[in-house]
Amino acid sequence: MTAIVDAQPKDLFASTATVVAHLEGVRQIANGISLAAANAKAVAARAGNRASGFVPITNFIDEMGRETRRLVDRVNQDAQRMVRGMLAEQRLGDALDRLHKGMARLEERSAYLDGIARDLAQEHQAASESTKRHLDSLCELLVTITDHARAARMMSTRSRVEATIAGDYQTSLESVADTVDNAAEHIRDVVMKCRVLLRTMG
Amino acid sequence: MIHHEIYGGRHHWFVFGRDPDKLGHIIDTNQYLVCDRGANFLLDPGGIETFSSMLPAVAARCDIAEVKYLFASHQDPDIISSLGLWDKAIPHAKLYAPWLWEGFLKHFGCHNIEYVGIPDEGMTLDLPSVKLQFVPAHYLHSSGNYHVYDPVAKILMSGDVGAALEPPGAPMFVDDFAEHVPKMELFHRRWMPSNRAKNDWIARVRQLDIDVMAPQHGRLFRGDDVKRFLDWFEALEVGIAIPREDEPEALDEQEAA
Repeated sequence: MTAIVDAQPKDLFASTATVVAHLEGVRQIANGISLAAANAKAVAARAGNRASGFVPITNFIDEMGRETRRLVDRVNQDAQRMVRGMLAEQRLGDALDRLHKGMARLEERSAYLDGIARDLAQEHQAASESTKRHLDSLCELLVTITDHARAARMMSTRSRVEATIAGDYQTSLESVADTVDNAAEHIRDVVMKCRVLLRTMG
Repeated sequence: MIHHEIYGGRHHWFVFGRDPDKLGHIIDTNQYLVCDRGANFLLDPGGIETFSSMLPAVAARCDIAEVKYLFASHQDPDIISSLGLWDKAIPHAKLYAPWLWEGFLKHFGCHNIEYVGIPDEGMTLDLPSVKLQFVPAHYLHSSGNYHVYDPVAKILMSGDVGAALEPPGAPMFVDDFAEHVPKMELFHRRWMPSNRAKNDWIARVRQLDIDVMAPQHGRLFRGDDVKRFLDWFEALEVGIAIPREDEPEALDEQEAA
């Protein structure tokens, strides 16, 4: 985490934008999972008692798709807040730097400018801490999305077991399980990339 | 940053420029300061890159805490992109600038300083010793543009009008008008868009009693050189990027291109 906070703002801007772009892809995959869940529900309904064990699974998968989309939206909002905060931090840092350069050339010390510089340094510190908080929050959200993806993969394994007793519908239900498994794996990979990107910046 | 007093009476005018620390690729600018017993007024304070030089230069002439007013003749970055920095250094100040550019200028950062939009017809600012006039200079070169006239010091701060492009270290005042003309010609013919606006401005400025005309780039004019400048400018065709309709050769050339 320290590496993130110590990174140059321009790196942070670019990395945050990249994370947001990656997560837009995750959002689309989550849409696909919800679609797969709806498809599975229809198949399970046709299969009747032979696929009764599949119904709670499809409910779970549907909920997971929705929750992933919600988390991605949250990440995007937090990322936007973080970018605004980083911009403020950068501007304050620049102002402080230029103020110090000017003050270093004063013929005599100015108590007024000393006070302005002190206030500005405090504002800059507060902005920097705010950026760190946003980054922590962002990383936690990414971990939560990864956890969801892991749970979805476990659920797809259980789906395959349930599919074996679904008779004629086995192939259809296995296909749904494969779709969910692939989607969850893809989400996990993308989110891992995002986490690595944030962790290794700077 | 070199600074000279250009008027000293009950109040004082200073010009700042010819910054030896200026980065090579940015245009040199003149900044002005009026000091009037605790009500100090900074005119066209300059760009971001000028701030660190301007701060100690201004502090050498007055108490920074008593800089109560800023002025931006128009919206260009060399005029006022330092706004976000002055906004931190003198948060109590007021910025007088064209009403037209308020939403644009605030992109430079203006969270503390109060923006006072100058109406199209201009307005005045009362300092303890003088009532300064914001003189409309629209389309010279910006669509919302003002100059500052001091009837006591007889100084017209003329923004980009009278500006010259010169190598670093040029003198502060014009000493040979004829020799100075080539340094101004391209600037005025290309940057100034409207002959009508130019002539309207000249007619109004001729009514003012001016000892010093102080542009934002290049040398200042004093005495008879002010009149010489107005005569020269009056005769000058501006807006050269658009060929005139009564110059068919120029139009033909453009079409051929």
